[in-house]
Amino acid sequence: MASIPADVQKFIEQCVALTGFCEFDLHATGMGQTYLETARDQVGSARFEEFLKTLAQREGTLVKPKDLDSTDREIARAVVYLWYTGAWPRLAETAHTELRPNETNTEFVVSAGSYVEGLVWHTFNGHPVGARPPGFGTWSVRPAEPPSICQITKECGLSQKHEEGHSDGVEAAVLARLRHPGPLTARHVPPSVVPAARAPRQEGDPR
Amino acid sequence: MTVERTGEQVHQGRYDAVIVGAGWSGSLLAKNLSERGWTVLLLEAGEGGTQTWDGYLESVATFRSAVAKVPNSAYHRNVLAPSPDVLDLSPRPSTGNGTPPYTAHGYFVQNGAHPYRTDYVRALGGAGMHWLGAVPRMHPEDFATKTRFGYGRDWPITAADLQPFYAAAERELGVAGNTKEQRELGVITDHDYVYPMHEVPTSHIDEHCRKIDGATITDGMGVERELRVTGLPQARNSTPNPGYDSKKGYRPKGAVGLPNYGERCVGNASCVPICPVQAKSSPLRLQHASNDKVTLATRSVVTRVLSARGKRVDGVEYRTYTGSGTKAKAGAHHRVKADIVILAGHAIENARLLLHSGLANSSTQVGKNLMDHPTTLAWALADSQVGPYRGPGHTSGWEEFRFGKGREKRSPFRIEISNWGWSWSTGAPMSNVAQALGVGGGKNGRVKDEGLFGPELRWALGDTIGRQLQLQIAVEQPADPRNRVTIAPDRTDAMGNPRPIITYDLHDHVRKGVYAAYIASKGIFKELGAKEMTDHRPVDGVPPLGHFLYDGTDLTYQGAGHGAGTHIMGERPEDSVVDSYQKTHDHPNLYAVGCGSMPSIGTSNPTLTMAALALRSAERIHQDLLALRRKATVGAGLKAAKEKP
Amino acid sequence: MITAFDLDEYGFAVPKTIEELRKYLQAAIEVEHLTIPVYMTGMYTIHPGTNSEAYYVIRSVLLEEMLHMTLAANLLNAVGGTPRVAHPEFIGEYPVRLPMSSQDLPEIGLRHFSPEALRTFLAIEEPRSFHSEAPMGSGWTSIGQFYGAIAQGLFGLVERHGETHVFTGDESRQVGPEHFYNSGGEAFKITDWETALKAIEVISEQGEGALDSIWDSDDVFFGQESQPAHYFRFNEIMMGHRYTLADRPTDPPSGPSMAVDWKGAYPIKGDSKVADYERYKDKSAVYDKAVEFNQTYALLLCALQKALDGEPSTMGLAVPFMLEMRDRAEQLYRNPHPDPECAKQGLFASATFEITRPHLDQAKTQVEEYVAAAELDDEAPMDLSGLTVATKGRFA
Repeated sequence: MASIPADVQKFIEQCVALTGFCEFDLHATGMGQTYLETARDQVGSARFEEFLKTLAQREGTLVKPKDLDSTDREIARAVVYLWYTGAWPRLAETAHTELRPNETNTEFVVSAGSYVEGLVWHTFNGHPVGARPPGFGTWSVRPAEPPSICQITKECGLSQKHEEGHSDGVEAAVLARLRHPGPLTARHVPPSVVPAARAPRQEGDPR
Repeated sequence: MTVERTGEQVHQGRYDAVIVGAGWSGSLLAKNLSERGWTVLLLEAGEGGTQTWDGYLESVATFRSAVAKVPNSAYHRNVLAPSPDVLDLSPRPSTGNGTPPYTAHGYFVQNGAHPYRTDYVRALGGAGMHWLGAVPRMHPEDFATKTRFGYGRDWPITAADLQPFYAAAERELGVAGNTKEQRELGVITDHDYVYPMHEVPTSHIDEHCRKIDGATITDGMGVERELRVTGLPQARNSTPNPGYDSKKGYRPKGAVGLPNYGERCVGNASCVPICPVQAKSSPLRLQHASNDKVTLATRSVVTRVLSARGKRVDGVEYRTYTGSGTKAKAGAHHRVKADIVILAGHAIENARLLLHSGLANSSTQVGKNLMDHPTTLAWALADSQVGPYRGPGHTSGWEEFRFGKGREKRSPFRIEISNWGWSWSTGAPMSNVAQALGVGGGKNGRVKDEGLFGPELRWALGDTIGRQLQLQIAVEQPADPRNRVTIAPDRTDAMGNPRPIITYDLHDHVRKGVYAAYIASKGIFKELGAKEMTDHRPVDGVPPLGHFLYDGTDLTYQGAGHGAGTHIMGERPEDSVVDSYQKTHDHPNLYAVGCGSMPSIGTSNPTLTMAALALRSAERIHQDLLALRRKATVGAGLKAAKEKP
Repeated sequence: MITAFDLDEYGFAVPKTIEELRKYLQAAIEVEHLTIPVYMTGMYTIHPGTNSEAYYVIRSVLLEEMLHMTLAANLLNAVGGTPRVAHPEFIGEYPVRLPMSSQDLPEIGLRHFSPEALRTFLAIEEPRSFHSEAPMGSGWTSIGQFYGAIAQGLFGLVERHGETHVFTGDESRQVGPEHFYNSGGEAFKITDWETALKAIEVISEQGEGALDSIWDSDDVFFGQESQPAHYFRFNEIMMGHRYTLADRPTDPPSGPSMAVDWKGAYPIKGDSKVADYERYKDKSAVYDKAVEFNQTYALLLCALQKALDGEPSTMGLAVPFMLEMRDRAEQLYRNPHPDPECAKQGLFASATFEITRPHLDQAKTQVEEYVAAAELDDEAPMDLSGLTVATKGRFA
């Protein structure tokens, strides 16, 4: 096998700030090349280069949605969705119309292997469902707390311009901005099309 | 080992018994009858392949590549032996002119007020391939709901009659469970009995729920119960119990197609649709363990049961095909003869075949009384990490609302504690990623402004996915002749066989049960200090699938995959299709076995009871065959005597 | 590996005393274990989605080696000995010479899935029947010969002293089917000559084949399908063909073909050490991750030590540690070697399987804590619910 191509290496480096996973974790999926090719395929090679160039200006720092123009923002989200789930999501209509109007805008899993490499399972110290089993009886074990935003930022070697100070406040603020998925109204609805959870009926978030 | 042949090769063959369908019932009967020395032909409409390790791995890969990881996602769609799929249904906005609130594509034609949301799979092993492996026994009172509570239908047999067959089924399926708990529930009555394997370890989520043991919960119908988390018996490899079978112990049965594999559950957490190591029991194991008196032919779609003179049947007609999935090509019609014909397809398939053959229907009950366990989901965010997406689908539940007083008012329900987060209710954890990122745009199609990236995204997902709790509450649905399967000449599949036409609804007793379950779930989440996220309301004006209002409250139900009751069992030929041995009242050598025979399904996942019934039938079929042989011998003797000069 | 090398140096001989026999059995545990990192490396360097048949072949052998190690420990416990596995000298430093084998054998290294790796595997598993019988005191020729010597020695001791004076071990120290699973046959308790002989036969026949046959005797011992013995299973991969029941040991496999893609693997520099990675620790996380892998390996050995030394239920912890090693190893193999020169040649990082005293001390404490928290009970079915995950990637 040849060495890891320079463009894949660069792509992985750029995805650290987007995903919150360090280079080692991204390489460890073995999916760098596949994902780069998938993204180029979906967005168009030239357009994806442009996107990476824009991203390069922010290298090593945290990325916020407002840092990117709307189409770049949607591309960035799709790339992160790819890393987290092994699937390419359905895009916002406007972004899709701009990028690939002649292709269908539906979610697809890149491959059986990519599903297994989804990073979302690592966020809560889990394993991909249907792969990498952890052993008999391990489901009885009390799970770990996920690492704090500070720890993750540090692990990724990202600068923390806005993230100084006590993490509790930061994390509560992030939770306030977080949206949960709402009900799956039919079984064929792909995960990226599930509506957001609506205001709960009851007060009293335990957190 | 079972002998494999093509449908063409077995054409014109003659067997002691021909069994239609190589799922749990069919495979149990084939193994059992062949052990008694009878020749058996097992005809399977679906494709095989999973009995080889390569073929099985292909199914695992198919599941991994699927966007919606539904029960049938490990199998290709086959056009000539089509299966119903939960993906076939979509919600439809109400038009106000009486059109049902859903559309149905695919194999089932549906014309009921509400959709039948259950699937099955026509492939080697049948729904025994994608099942969860939950094997609770039915409770004595489940067999007599009419007498005791005034709803549904009574069985012609009792739980006591089934006890030895339950035990035999638990050996064949390989069951792990906590015998003491089940004895306390009243479903195991033999004092010396233990399960072959110790219970599958319960999950940390179960542990989290155990903290409210002793709390009193009221359901929406005024029934009050004190909660206690109880483990689930499972057909899944666990620690063998050295005390089993008078201390002979039990050796877990591993994977088919790969030696020395799958002898313990390793926590893949994908039992439905597929256990990658085959620690979950499947009919493939029985086929593998059968002797060579069993012949198996896949890709053989039985089209009709053939009548003989008088009331007897003669054999079956079937049609073969070649190829696979959407590229399957239909072949020729074939026939085989057998002394006993056993229909062992899914309840709906058995009914379809009986209706199409015009047999066994003097009671007019064939196809009627279709049941399922309408299942309502409730979900919440716990106050701490609970470790979802680990271990078997569910390892414990709350059993308190299953039995006793209150059943006369509303259907009883079993509360399953899910180990798999919000996957069923919301498409999590993938949908969590999409929502946290804000991908997919808003309602106006524009790219969303808000969303998370990087460390914030990773942390927020870890924090919240790790706190997902979900309850799956299975509600008993009594036999009701209005819920039914019919066929029509103009509604056929690609091979020309009639498609099932399903007329289905949830009637009052069940709806009350669903509502009661919903209210109970609210109480549970409150006790647990969890933030309730359950949401059955219409989305953008469109009611979700399975939506109904009860007393102004939005509710939805899912299908449980527990299709039952289409050739219902009873003492009287006037109002039932089969007798307690699952022999049709109308035909002395035609059996229809499976969940279709069950007059009620209580709140127990029905496979174990179905397996017990199959083993009970095996004894009777053996007697039938012996009687036929005796008659033949006597007949031959008489003939020989006459011919003597 | 100290005991094994000792015996190796001494040359072919049959143990005469119970002490000597125990030494042989300790050496047997060491030799069985030595193969495990070698096979793990071959297996986990395979690209997912390729070489699936080969993957499951290597896996089946690996699991049987684990069974053999457990049975060897059961034997040692049965004759009143004490297995020692959590010890820096227990493991070899790769590349390592294979004790109890022909002196001509090249050293055994950690190699990615490749023809070279398979040649190594074949060398390890070479059947005794490929060699002429050695006279006493000459060099060892095969592991089969070594087990033959153990059987002979044990038989002599039983003849001289009687069964009850040889099998003096406490039965509660035996690892049984309730503890060891997943799968590779079945662990069973050894309490007498009959069960001891069965264990030796299982080890020899799964490894070498039954009586000049390609096939093992799993059908006889465990009621499972019989499979080609290890050497022949590896030869199937090497030749890209399966054996048939009619093939004899000297025949090439004549059965259906097996798809083998030698390119479907992550090439590694097998003799890499964590010390090599340390130089790049500022630029690459490989060093930290390789150390963490070795720490997990130490945990496995400490859990095994407890399981084989009187608390068999601890086996329930050993398996999750092993599966954690699988995940950690695969992550390393997919990362470029931290040395830019190596990376440029297309080489990837690898798990080094190095154990240090501090690792073991730390692991020992941690395993003690885990066992205490889980309240593992040799009488009750396994229950890990008392544990908490403290480390990323553990138990999940």
